[in-house]
Amino acid sequence: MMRHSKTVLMADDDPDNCLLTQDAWEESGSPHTIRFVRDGAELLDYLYHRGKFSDTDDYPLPGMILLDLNMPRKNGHQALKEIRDHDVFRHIPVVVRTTSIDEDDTRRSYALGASACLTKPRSAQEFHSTVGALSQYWPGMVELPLGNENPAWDVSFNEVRETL
Amino acid sequence: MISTKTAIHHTVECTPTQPSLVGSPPDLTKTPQLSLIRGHQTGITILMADDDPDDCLLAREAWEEIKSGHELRFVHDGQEILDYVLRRGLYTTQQSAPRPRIILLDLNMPKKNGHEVLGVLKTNPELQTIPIIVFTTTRHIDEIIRAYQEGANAFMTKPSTFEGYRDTFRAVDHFWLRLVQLPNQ
Repeated sequence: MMRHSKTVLMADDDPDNCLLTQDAWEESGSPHTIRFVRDGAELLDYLYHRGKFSDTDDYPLPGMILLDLNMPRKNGHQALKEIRDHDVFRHIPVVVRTTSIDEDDTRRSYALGASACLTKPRSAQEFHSTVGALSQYWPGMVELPLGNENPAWDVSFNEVRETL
Repeated sequence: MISTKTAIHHTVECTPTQPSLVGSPPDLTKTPQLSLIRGHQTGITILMADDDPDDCLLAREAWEEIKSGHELRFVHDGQEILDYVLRRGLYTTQQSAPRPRIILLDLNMPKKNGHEVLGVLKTNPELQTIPIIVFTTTRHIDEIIRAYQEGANAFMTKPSTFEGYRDTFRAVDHFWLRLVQLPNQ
C-alpha cells in the first residue's frame, strides 16, 4: 500500500545540491515528489503562488520544505521567519539544511521554528544516505499537515490492531 | 503491569558500553554507513509524556530493545511535564530532571493536555528550541494542523504494539539522534 504522493519543496541555490538530492530522493523509492526553488524569495513566490507559480494545481502547497540557510536574495532564516509568521504556511514542517556547524545557527533555526536541522551532505555517498533516511522518516513516517491521504504506516498498525 | 504512581521514575537504564555505531534500523538499512558519517550523540535524555501506563510499559520495553544508548524518562500528565522542564515540584534538581534533548508528547493527557503543553514550551525562550515530537493515537487532520501551528516539530502516530513501538523508536533514534543536529543544552 502506498501513501498518496505529496510535494516536498527544496530551496537551494546550488544546482549540484539540487541534482544530487533529486537523484538520491528518486533512488530512495519515495512516493513523494520533490521540487526545487533557487532561493528564499522564489520559495515565498511559490508559497504565495506569485508570478510563474500562479497555477495552484501545477504548484501545490508542499507537505514539507527543505531549506538551505545560505541563499541569495532571501536567506534561509529570513524565509523561515516569514513562513512561521504566516497564518497559512506556518504549519508546514521545515527541515533546515546547512553547511554550517555553527551552534548559533542551529539554535537560531530552532528558535525561528525549524522542525529539524541537518548538516548538508558533503559527498555523493552522503547525499544518498542522508536523503534516503530523510525521505523515509519525513514524509515516510511523520504525519504531514497537508492532504488527508491514508498513510501506509497507519494502515499497517490498524491491521495489527484488528488482530489483537 | 505498572501502576501510574509507582511508575513515575521508571527511567530506562541503557547499557553505557553499548556500541553506538551498530544496530541501524532494518527499515532504514539503505544507509548502512550513515552512523559512521554522522557522530552519534551521547548522553541524551528523551522525555516521554503519556498518561497511559500500558503505553509507557510498551515504550519502555521497546526502548530497551533498540539499545539506542540513550535514556528514556517518563512523565504522566501535562502538569508533570511542565514541572519537569520548569524544574518545579518533584523535579527541582538536575539529577531528578536532566534537560530533555527531545520530547515525545501525547496530546490527550489529564490536568493539561498536549496542546497546552506545546503552548507553554514553544513560547518559552529557554525551552522553545527543544524538539517536540507529538506522539499520539489520533491522526485527525485538524489535530495534526493544530499541533504544527502550535510549534510541534513532528507529528507521529502512536503505535499500539510492541513491534510498532520498536520500529517507531528505531526511526526516531536513527533520524533524531544520529542524523539531526540538536540544539545544545
